[in-house]
Amino acid sequence: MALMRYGTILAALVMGIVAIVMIVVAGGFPAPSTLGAPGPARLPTIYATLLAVLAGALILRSLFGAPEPGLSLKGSGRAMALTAGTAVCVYLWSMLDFLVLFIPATLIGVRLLGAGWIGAFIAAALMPAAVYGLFHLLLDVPFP
Amino acid sequence: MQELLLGIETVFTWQGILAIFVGTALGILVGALPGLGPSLGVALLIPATFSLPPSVSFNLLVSLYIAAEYGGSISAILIGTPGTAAATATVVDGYPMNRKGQGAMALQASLTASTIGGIIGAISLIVFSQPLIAFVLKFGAPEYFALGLLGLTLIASLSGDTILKGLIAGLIGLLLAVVGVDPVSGSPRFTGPFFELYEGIPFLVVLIGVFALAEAFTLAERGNNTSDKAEKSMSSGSLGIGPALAMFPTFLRGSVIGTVVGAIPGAGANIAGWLAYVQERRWSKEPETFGQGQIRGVAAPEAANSASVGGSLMPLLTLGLPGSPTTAVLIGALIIHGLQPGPRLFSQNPDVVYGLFVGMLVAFPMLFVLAIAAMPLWRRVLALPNSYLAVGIILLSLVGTYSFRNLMFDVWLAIGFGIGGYFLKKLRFPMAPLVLAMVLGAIVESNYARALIMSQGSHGIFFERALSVSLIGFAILALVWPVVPYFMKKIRQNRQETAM
Repeated sequence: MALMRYGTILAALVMGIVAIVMIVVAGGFPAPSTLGAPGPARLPTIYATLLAVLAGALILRSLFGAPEPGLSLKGSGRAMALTAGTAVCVYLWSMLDFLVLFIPATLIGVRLLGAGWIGAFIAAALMPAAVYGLFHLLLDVPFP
Repeated sequence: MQELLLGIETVFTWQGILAIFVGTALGILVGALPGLGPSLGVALLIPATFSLPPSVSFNLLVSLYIAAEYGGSISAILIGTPGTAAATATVVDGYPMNRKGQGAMALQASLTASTIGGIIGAISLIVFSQPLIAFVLKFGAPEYFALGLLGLTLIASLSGDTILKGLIAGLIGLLLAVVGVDPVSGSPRFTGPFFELYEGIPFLVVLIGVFALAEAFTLAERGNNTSDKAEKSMSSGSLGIGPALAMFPTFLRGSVIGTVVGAIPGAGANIAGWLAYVQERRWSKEPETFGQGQIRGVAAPEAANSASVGGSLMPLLTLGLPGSPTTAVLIGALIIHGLQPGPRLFSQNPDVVYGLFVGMLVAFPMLFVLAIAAMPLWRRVLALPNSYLAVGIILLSLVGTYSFRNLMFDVWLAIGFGIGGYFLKKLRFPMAPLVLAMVLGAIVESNYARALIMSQGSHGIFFERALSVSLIGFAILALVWPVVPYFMKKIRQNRQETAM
């Protein structure tokens, strides 16, 4: 429960800071050029102000309100590893051919998440090829 | 009647039937794959229609549109990732149904609702085209703004037991909608050094991030478990004729909402689905079961988004205006084929218009048959362990996002939204309000600005027109209504305490 509370407070703090930054940035937007027009800053400022207020309310509720259900971190290491692996693949995609990159990446990804070697080899052989065939060959999407 | 006979002659040729078959089969696939969707599918198919007669081409493209709107629900139910934006509302109850072991029932409900909704939408298109368009023509900027406000009041009812977090998610969605060039002044807002953001953050990128990638990361957390519930999901329980008949009022309500909302240019299937979902929840005697795998929560939005196809074709055919992003692509297809969308289409190209009417009435039953035949395929998708699903979703998401604008920037953006969505989901922030607010944010802002320019800055314009006032009144009522029972209970308690 404490983990959920701290997580919520941290998220609300980040949102509050982002909202304040948006209000400051919106302050630099030009004044309305058309008669009667609201100007580019009006709605973003209203939304960001409301977000800052509600983020504050969420912090107060987390500190003094009824406790929320607990937060489990079980398996989050695997999720983080998959996220990092995805980012590395996207970075390399511009440099390597799709199949050259994604066949080994799929093999590693599926194994990392606990599949057996045979299943991982089959997935690595089929999944990138199917996606490549559908998007690049059939639908003519030009890959980087 | 004579025109409808012309339509029958146009459709019931080998070319006409084959076009509907191919369009429907491709549409199911395109809709089920997260990241594609009807607009992209129709756009990609246009080059293949150059050598076909316009009436056959248009039936091919519209069949794909119809089937893709249904196809979106398959991945929404089975992997919790809407294949199309229109299926976003279907996730809310469809995926919990699947996790409870009722995936087959959810798919059957979605298919039945889509077929019935679609046929009702098509019949409405044939019968009500002219009178409905006369009503919609009365909508100006103040009315669109009020309609957007009415939509935003739905956020509270989509937040479940976490209203504060739902409102925050909604505001994040509204702030995401203001990124890009301001529609009136033309000044860039919150774009930083990225010119790719000048057109705004693509809705599809956010959808793939917060639904598909966030879901893949969550699946990775759970390890390589094969979901027993998923196995049971397709083997146990089917809809049956009795329960399907009992849901007819749900299908009907969803279809009416879908047809009317679809006919409002710019509103589209997504808003239709959400409106139908929320209305169904309001009508229900068990509103608390919505969000936890309530079958009517699948049927209502699916009936609505399929019916919205017929609705969205009304302004296209009679006014030449797009009712949805996909119909905007269809207008392009008509022009490429040398046809002029609008009222003259009825007199100059009756084979195209009435061929389309009859074609739609053929396409929906064909969709039903094809989707039933393909259902065992989805069974295998469900039997996949999490490791394959997670990696498969990531592959499709990366390539699907890239294929939208052929920009690596969008892929990075989707990963960012995926990471954000993953953490927000863990902290029990509902994602549906974020998506709804992002859809409505653009409508609210552009029409707010237009209305104020019309009135030279006076907010009185929103209260001068009967339609606008009515819509704002409904918005206030929708906002206050959920709180009324709480206050009534408090008043009753106070009275009882005073009496004692």
